Amino acid sequence: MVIQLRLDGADHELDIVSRTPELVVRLDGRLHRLGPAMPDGAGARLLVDDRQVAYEAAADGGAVYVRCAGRHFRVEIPDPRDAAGAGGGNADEIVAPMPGVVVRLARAAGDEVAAGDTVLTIESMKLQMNLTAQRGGRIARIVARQDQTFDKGDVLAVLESVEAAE
Amino acid sequence: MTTAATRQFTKILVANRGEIACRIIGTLQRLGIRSVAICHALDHRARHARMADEVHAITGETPVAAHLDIAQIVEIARRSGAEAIHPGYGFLSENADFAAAVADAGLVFIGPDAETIRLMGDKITSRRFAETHGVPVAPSAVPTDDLDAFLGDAAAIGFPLLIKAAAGGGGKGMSIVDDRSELADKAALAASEAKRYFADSRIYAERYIAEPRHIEVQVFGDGAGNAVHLIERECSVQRRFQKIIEEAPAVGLSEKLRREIWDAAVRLARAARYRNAGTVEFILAPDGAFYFLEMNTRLQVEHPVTEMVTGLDLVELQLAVAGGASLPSQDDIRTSGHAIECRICAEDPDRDFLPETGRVLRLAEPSTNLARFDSGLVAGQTVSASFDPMLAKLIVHGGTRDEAIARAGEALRETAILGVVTNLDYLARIVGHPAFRDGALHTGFLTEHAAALATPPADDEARTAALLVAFVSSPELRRQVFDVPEPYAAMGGWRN
Repeated sequence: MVIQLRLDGADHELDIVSRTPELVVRLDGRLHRLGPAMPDGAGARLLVDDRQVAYEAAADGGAVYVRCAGRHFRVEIPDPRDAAGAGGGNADEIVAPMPGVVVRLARAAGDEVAAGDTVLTIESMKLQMNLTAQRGGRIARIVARQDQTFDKGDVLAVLESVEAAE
Repeated sequence: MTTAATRQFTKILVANRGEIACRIIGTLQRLGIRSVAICHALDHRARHARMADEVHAITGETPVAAHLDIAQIVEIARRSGAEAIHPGYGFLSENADFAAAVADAGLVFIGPDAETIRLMGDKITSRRFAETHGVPVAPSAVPTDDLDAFLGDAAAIGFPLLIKAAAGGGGKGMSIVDDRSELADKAALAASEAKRYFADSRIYAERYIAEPRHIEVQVFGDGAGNAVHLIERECSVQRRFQKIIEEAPAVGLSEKLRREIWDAAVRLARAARYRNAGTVEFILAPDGAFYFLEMNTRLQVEHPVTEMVTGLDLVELQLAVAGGASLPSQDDIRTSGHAIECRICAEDPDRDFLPETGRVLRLAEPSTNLARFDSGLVAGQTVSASFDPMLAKLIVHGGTRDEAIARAGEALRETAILGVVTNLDYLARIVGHPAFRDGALHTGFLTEHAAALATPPADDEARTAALLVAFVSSPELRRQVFDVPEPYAAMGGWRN
């Protein structure tokens, strides 16, 4: 699955490329090998490629506060479920994390999906992004159509559990 | 410093909160004196309340109102059996009525007498008092009903001059007059603005000093006309008219000028029969002329730089003087090296220093062999808008100013406060700026160098590191990424 991160107002995409024999992630199209995060004095260090990054970090819901490379950062984790607002907040709805347009429907109503499977691809602010199923199940309906525009928080597809459908 | 005749306190109420309450309680603990803290319910998880031997709740319309409630605080002191009250800075520390109420309750106010606080608390009377006792004040023309006479007096000051509202503040009703031809118009404009903003059209004029420095002298008086100084501090690095970096000694002053400034401060303290710790503030013009600004009748936020260069504990000295001990002799007060204090505030330097709120998720203090860290913070604490945004002070000492600057930079880089936006990185950029290192200081320093001091865009490598660290540090992301069937499938062989 692709994780969205936001830093200084810019969006970034991260996904896992391989988990063994080492953890490799793709960040904005570039591959990085990650070693273990080890305690280092009062802080910690992370092996990124062949470089040790000393850091302090603390997570608080939708944000991670990081101190590294000589300064403080606030990395936001936009949660598609939060973006749905009061009506959302469950893993059955795939919600638009930002306004955009539907580029491609990867799945159709009735398809079974596993968590992390791409259901549709959207384009927003010139960035394409895969929206994935939060859990395994069956697609109850696809609300969005190809080339359709939508607003942040709109429900684009709805999942149901396989048992419930049967 | 103490004599047989002096009073030893056994229990003291600290009428404050945050870092200064913690700092005072620290000295009380070291001296074996029991401490009484006051704490508002909204000051949740406050460190000063945890440190104190006894905590009493204070209530009020707002948390600040509770800290300003004289009757309530004096009553708590009386009930708890405290013999004295230390007011810290801010809140009631310069409130003459509070000092009087404490004395009336038969307790010792650790600070000057109420009359001294009143004298120095009024800009016009304190200025007149300073002038009478040979302490230089900036040439000025005082308010008068006769406009022509005022314009004549003002012109005599020389140009450029500054016109200010007598009741003013925040730059309203203030203007710089470059020559005689502008004077009447600008005076009329300032008076009408003053009327509009402060319902008081009185204005006064004083010499305009371009690029002034803020120099102040720490003094101690015994209330009987004796006073000593603990050298000067430089507090020229300011934002929103408030100091954020202070040093001792001042940068690059001649020994002759330093002595003149010290002598003026001591002269004022002696004349006022000043008791306990006080600070005489001066404006220093680029030409070396210095002028009395005001006297702060309390312990200053920036007192630690004086402690670092003198080796004295100013709170301990305050307690001794309040207990009747004689002052240390001037010759015994020696200084060594250079000290710098950085005020760490919950504010965003990139958004005009607007106060920030949040929860302190993680706090990494600098190593103790590098810096002193005076703070009222604990991890998990909420930083609310109810109180001052200053969270902590980082103080370093070095054999030379260059050494102190290097240590300040290193200590700031070691410090992390996560969960609330602070000025930590901004402070590091200031102490790393060549103009700061060169000592080219004046009160407009931060404005002059605003562009160079703004947060630079993070480079690619730093951004990548921050994003990857965020990824591995977020339980939410770990769950999203790893709580998927794939690893479970891989583990199937031994999971039954």
